[in-house]
Amino acid sequence: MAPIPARRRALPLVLCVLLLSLAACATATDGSARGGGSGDNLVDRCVDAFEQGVDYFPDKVEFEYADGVSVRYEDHYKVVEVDRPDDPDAEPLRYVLSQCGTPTPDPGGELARAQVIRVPATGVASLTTANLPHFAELDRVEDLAAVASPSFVSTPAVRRAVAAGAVESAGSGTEPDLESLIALEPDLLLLDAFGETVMDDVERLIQGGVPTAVNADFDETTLLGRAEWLKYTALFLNAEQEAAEAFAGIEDDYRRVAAAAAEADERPSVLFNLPYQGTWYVPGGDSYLAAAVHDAGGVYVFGDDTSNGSLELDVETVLAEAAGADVWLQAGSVHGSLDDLLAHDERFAEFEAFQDAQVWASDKRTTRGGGNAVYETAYTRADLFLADLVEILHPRVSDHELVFFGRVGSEPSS
Amino acid sequence: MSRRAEVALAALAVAVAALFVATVAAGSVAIPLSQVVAVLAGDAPADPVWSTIVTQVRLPRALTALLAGAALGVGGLQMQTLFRNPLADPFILGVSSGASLGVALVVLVADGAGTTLVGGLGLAASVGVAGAAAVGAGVTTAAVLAVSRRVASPATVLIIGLMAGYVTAAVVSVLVHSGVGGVERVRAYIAWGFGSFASTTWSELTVLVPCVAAGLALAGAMTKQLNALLLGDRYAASMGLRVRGVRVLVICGASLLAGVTTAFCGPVAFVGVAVPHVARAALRTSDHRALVPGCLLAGGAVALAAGLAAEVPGSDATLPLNAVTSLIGAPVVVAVLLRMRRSRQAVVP
Repeated sequence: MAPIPARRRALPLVLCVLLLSLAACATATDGSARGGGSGDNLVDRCVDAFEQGVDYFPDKVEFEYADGVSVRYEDHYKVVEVDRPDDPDAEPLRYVLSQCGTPTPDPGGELARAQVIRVPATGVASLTTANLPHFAELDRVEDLAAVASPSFVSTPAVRRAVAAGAVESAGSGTEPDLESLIALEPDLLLLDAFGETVMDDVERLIQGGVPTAVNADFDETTLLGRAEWLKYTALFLNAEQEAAEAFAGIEDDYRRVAAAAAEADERPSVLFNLPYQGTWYVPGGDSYLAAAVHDAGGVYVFGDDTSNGSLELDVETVLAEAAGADVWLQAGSVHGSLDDLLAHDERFAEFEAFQDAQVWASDKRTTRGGGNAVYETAYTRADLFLADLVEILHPRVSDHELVFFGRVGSEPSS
Repeated sequence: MSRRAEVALAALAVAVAALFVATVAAGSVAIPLSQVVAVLAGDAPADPVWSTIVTQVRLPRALTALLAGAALGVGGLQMQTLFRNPLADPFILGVSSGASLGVALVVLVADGAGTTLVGGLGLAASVGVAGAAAVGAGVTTAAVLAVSRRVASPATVLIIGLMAGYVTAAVVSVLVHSGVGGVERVRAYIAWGFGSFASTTWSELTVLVPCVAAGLALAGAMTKQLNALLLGDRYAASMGLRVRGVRVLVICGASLLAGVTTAFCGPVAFVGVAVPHVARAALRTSDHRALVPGCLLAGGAVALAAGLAAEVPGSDATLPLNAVTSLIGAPVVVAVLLRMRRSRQAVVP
């Protein structure tokens, strides 16, 4: 199909908006929209002729599980609020997402200082790997322009794009290359709001003319809450329709798996991780991992704790609390053996889970460069992650092939 | 040995014993003293996990602290005598950084067969890491010593040592940031850098104990030579001492002590510089026949006390060991500097 001059393309759009015939409009825009776009929002272009009173975002999302993010729709812009993980009492970060081709919003009030970001963004740079599966789930990998530490990427569709040269490198996740990011002129830069200096980096990037938004999905207290951040990424792409569909599928699967787990009679107790130099970092009792263990029909040994970050415990505390735990997750390697773990620390033999060979590593799906699907896909595909846990905790009620986890020693050494 | 030194040594021995008992008795998990005694006596405690905690967690931790403190104290004493500098110390002279570089090369770069993702420094169980640390320590000591013979001021030597430390730390930093070894190993390496007595297990102690014992025995056998070095190279030579050979032996001994301690506990700050001064003050002598056992005991006591403070008894949190040792050690360094200035006694400790 030959490209239609912009001015002539505007006519059918205006007509169909006037007629409020959404179905007709969808048919009209499908022709020029890229593949995968099934919704009515403009996913790859600007408004040609702005009309007051027209709803430019017929597809909308709302956040049901995620606590740290919310969105409000106006006719031609969206207001997104993200709680600051570094300071929950501070004013939330506010972004005004303005449909391109429409007047720059001037909402005033608490939004006067909010960053205005033009949507849809079609050239996105991401300094975090956590949201790369969002692009895959939304079928919008072509909107990724650059990622940090490409060798760490695990999400297959993004890896293919990196290999094909369609996605550039943007420095490392911990040391963003500000210069090349500014030179890249992305429509949007996404990064994790993690660490002490990230807000200063954000400030510098915005001053450098790079529209920058932060991700804070790691601060959620449920797996579904964390997964729902795929809608957040979608807000910038106008991919609400795709996000709603993808998330509904994940949510349904998650509920089905959780319901099956609830049928099980036993509630195995669960321990996480390995100690580093005598300090055992474990998820807090109010973290999404603790919630996942609960939903998978297990009992988290530190479930009484009320923090959602990670706990630093010494070895004797963990021995006293968790020596009798039934299952030990995220320890060792599927390519290593229990003896390797013993060589690391012979005290591991004191754990019942170790004696029963109930030690499960989370490196089943890793890449040569060090990427691990458990840090990427698992955060979005909460259903798969939960299904893995249920398969481990309740093999009798589950019929699922493990995706992220494997028993220590279950795979040949790589 | 003077009467005062004998009394002081006895008092230090009592302090070490008391702190050792306290380290075994106290921890984040409340275990009644009677039950701790029962475990040590070989009886079954009320809760079987207490037996594991006392024998597998607390005893190795206490023993590690004792050995590390003794090694750093005696190693520090040897360095101070070797450099004839009251502020010499494995940490300050960059020797610990040299050891760190050795560890970083082994942990981050060398491929641990099969243990790639087990994470941690379980590799420290292998003699390889301890050996790499000792070699790194030895090379740095020799380099700093070679340079230091060209300058007169002890302060300059310390600054050269600091620079050597910065260079090795920078190389380590480049290794860490270049991403070799992957996330897990880098994380393990960073945790190691905070310093800890709590991570060694009995199998690692089978490497640590003989290495420290050998280093301490060497120091104990060389007290006469160390005393002679104190009087200056020329005087020592006039007494028939083969200064060059002695110096090499002292470097080897001190590097072994500093190196293996660093390999297993991470770079522990300030114990090496502070302990010899504590021992000298307590024993009122600069005779190495008294100072070597004095530093051994004082080092053990200081490390056990720092380890106890880092464990924060009664809570399940742990403080970074280096924060505690720095709080203890840095004031001692300042006090020594102030006294040096007053007495203009700059070279001989």
